[in-house]
Amino acid sequence: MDISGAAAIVGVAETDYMRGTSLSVPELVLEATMAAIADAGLDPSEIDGILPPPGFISSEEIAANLGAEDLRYAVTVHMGGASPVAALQSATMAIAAGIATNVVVTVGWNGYSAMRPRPDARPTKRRMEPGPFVDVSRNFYAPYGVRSAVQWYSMYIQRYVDLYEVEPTDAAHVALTCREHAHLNDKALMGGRPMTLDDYLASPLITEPMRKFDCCLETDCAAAVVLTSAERAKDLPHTPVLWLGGAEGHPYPADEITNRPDMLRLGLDFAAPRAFAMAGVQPADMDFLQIYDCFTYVVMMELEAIGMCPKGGAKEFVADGNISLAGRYPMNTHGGLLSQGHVWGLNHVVEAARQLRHDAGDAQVRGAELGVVTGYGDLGDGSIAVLARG
Amino acid sequence: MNTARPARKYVPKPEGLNLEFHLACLEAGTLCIQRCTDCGQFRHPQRWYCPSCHSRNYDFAPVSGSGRIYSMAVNHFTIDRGWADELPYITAVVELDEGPRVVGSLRDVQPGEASVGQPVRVSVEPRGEEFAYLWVDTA
Repeated sequence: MDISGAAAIVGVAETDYMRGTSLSVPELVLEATMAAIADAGLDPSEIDGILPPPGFISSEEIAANLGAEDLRYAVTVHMGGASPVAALQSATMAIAAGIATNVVVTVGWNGYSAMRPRPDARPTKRRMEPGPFVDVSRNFYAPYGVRSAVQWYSMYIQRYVDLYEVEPTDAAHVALTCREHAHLNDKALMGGRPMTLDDYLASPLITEPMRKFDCCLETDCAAAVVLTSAERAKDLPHTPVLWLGGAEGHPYPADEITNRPDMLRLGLDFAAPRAFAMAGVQPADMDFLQIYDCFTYVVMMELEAIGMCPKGGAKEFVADGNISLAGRYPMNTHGGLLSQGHVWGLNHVVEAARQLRHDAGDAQVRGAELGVVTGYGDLGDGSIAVLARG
Repeated sequence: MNTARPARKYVPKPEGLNLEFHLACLEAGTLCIQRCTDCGQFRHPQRWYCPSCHSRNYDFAPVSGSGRIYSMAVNHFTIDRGWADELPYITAVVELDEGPRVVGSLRDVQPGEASVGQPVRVSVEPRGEEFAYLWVDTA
């Protein structure tokens, strides 16, 4: 079965990006979900497929709020930050196979407030589900003081920067470009807060080579997108955004970093060639790139993995304005996780859809017809979607 | 937040194959690595099946402990209060001469002094009855 172009994104929404809120995760997720369904011109009761975040709230609970009485497809993707983009593939499969008609993909979390609760906050029992690698990380990494993403990833980023002689001034291009783009976005947390190269270089080291400004933002927020068949999409309010191709990929072994035969081979290295082959287009055809930017150096590895440049070539690729709005490959035109906010990369999908609708405001890439979105999560899992203006 | 009591370092409560690994290390007083007793291949972390020949037969064989730094996390910040007093600290990924890679604490080395490829030795120290902590020292 050829599923390329079988489904389209027809509704998108995101909550405000906040650092501190009294709203619970279910409230945020439902706010985004309701708004995305309204954007699609559908009634909430017409939803029959729901892919929720891995934790906090279930498909079933969301359906009960939507009045969705005939839930036909409820699955959860467990790939950390790669989950939302992988979920687009799963949603398209369900739609192409006739399993479901109108599918919601949503994520949200209290990425700021969970770590820094307000003094009057009531504790919640709703949690993110542990990643598939938790057994390895708690037994082999945590006893040695390695228990956060920046520390896990540094174990391969250290080798990456050594092998290709990548300097902080190279990674800085990613951070500074995302910040520039945030100034164009009313919803970006860091909009109107300029960052210079000196600011970047003065930010404290977290885990080498990552500094504070190589790291994404702790955020309270949610986002949602609605997919339906390409055929049905023609009758809905917005220009459809076609899912031309996509894939998920997992490094081997996915649950453990240090014994991989090639520590620099990420999930996206496996996934990207399949996605572009399915879509029938080349990386060089892209009008924009929305790249999962948990950390600047991860962006550089992803750009190489998806074939925008050869291995080790990202430091040249991100330099000289190539990834800025005026460049050949505008990247993270919304500000990204680094400067808009962190909603597990579903904000990258929302932004890609807006670009392809030609509704991206000051950040619009003129005449955008084709774009790529990546996801990245857990210990290097990857996901990718090639999207086109319908 | 109550900070009166000093935070202690986290020590896991291993189970299953992982517990067998720790008990083997503690009994031998040296690093032991799971080995397929059919094809002889070492593997780490522990797995029920040999990913090469799919045998379920294995033992835990003592290894030399010598190897080279393959990569490392050089930590200048931590969310783990048990490690806050150690900053900065280096967590090393060591490629053993026998092939597998293990994670341990590189001691008495400052950031900037350690490098990939550096020869090191891994030793074990009991933490309770069921956990063998791995130390990494420059050779």
